[in-house]
Amino acid sequence: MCKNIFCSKSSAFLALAFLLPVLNIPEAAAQAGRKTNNHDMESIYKRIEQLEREIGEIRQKEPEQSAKQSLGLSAFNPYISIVLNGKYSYYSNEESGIAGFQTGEEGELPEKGFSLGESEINMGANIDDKFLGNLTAAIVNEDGEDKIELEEAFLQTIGLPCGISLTAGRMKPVFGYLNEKHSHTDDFSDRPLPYRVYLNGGYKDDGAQFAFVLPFSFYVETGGGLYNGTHFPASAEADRGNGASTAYLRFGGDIGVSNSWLAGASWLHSKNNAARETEGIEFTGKSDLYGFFLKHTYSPGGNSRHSEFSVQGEYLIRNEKGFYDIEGGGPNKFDNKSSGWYAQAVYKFLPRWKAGYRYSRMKPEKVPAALADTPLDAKDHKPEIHTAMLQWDNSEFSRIRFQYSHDRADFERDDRFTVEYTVTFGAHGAHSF
Amino acid sequence: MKKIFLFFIFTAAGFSAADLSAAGKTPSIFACEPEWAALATEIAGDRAKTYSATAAAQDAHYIQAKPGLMAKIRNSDIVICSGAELETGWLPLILRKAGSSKVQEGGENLIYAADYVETIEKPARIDRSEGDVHPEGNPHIHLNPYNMLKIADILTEKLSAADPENAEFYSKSNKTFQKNFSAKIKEWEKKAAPLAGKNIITNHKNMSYLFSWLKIKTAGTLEPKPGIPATSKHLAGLKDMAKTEDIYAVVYAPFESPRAAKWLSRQTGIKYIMLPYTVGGNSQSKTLYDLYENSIDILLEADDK
Repeated sequence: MCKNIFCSKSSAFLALAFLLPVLNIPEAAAQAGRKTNNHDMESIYKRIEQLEREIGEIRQKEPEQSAKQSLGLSAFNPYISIVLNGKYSYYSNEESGIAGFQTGEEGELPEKGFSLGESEINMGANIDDKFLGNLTAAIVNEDGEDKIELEEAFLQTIGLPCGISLTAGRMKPVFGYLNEKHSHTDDFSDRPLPYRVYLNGGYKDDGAQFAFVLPFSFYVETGGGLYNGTHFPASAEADRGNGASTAYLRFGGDIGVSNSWLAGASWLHSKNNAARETEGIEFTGKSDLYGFFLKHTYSPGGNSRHSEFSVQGEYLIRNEKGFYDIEGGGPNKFDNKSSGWYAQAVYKFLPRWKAGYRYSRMKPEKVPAALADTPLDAKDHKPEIHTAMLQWDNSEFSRIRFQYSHDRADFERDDRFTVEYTVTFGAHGAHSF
Repeated sequence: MKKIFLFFIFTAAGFSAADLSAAGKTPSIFACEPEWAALATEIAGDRAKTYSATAAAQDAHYIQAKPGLMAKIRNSDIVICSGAELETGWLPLILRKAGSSKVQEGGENLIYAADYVETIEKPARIDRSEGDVHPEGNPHIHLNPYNMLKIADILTEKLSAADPENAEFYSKSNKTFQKNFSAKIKEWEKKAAPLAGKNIITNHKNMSYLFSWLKIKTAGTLEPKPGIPATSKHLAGLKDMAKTEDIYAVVYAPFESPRAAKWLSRQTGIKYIMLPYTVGGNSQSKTLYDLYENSIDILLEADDK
């Protein structure tokens, strides 16, 4: 830190050399210099102390100028952190999907055997006193090809009055609890069913978002945004700039030092005036997605490093109005509602061990007769998955996770085992709630 | 559904408008750790609202960016923290999400105490294989009481600028604090003189400033690397060391598990003690003064057996 340099006596002396023209006290320096020769340390220290005070005063008047003199160029490098994630998965039924729903590419599960999850590079820095910038790129393997995927590239205002902040660029909009989170911070190695179905794992898009933290003694934040609508679940090529919009409200607080909670309601409206195509099935129209979530954590004495118990649940409802075209068979009118939810509990029973359980479920609605026996017809089947995990953290920066899923999302059952490692290195990541 | 949603949002906005107009002028101080809250109380008394983001039973490094913290930082005028990356996992995030421009990085009212004092134990090698090291040096600076004197000056200055009406009050209480606390430091140093030169094993190097002030030597840590919990292999090594070296005590903080300290104590007969670490760390450490007084008392008592 630049300020540190003024705290040690010798460096203050050095800094003085830079500041002499400003201070206009060459005589003082000359005097100090002579005394050095005499090894009269005590009086030098006294003199230095006085000069330190003067430097301090100047520093307060011209903080920027001082900072420039004490920082090298490298100090302006952004922080960089890298996430590596890899897994080994075993499926008893590889063809397993989700009955009654079509997921986007990223809502699908990884291929069996060894696979790399998202290897992520995150860079960011304060741009100046008003903005910060953040860039997250994920290197993913899609259909056997390595691709760089831009996860986030946004700038955000800092320190606007009244708790307001604006974000512009590529982002993961605030929706529900999980959407804005990076998947490597999740408690399970895959996203719950409603996120895979409705949000393609997590909705990201180019746009602008505002957030407003209200001045209460407990936490209330409201906000929303406008997006191009070029990513799942939107497909609004013809209406770029207004293809999708969000609004949310979330609130939370602490109960004593041991308990914290967060709850929220979100809305994502997306247009599909260009067809949204997933595996030969095209949707045109519009869709509204509503989400409600609750998260509560308990850690004795607030010491979450030692033990913590957290519960979390989300309920998502989707309303789709428009036309479904099954493999070029012509448009079928569709006006339907479906929903899905998950609930999970994670217990950190030792400082380095966590165990968790999650149940997630979809509730498809009856499809119109014209769509019967298509992949959109769940035929009264209720997709559900039981997931259990055990996780070992060596440090804040590395972990190994074992996960078992009893998957009844499709008509046929699938038993899944996953072993996964996740490591982060570089800048210290945030402990988000 | 849409209507319910919009209703929610408008009601919240309405409430907040009402709340805004009712907001008082009393400055709010957001302290990351209890010791800074205690210092703020010494200077500001009841002229400012002081809030401590963490309690003595919490390890300030492992805090999450909890919603309650976001609400508090939203309404704070001055933020005072240890700095040197101690709060790096949560403070930048809540500042970014909810802080005003004055309390941002580089803002005039964000005080990182470590910026104003000389930090010790700067790692020679910045590499995570060394554990969770802090490039800027050991961030637990508050246990050297001289650092408190310096930070009291800084805080007084910032407080006076933020709340000029009470500037005189702040400067007066700072003068009283400087006088009384300096006198106490001399007393404590006299009292703690027998501790000089003793060897101590500590769980994590979070009390190094106390030890270096009292000239106590740190012979080892229960953690093999900072942030990595004690392993049996490492503890066995410490046990061997205790055979050849004269270890005075094994020390841990209120937010740390006593298990490793107890084990080593059982194996070697060396006393294990919990030091309060911060204000509120034990029932005796109610004020800043108690903190140092009680820490020295506990260390001296360890000699009895």
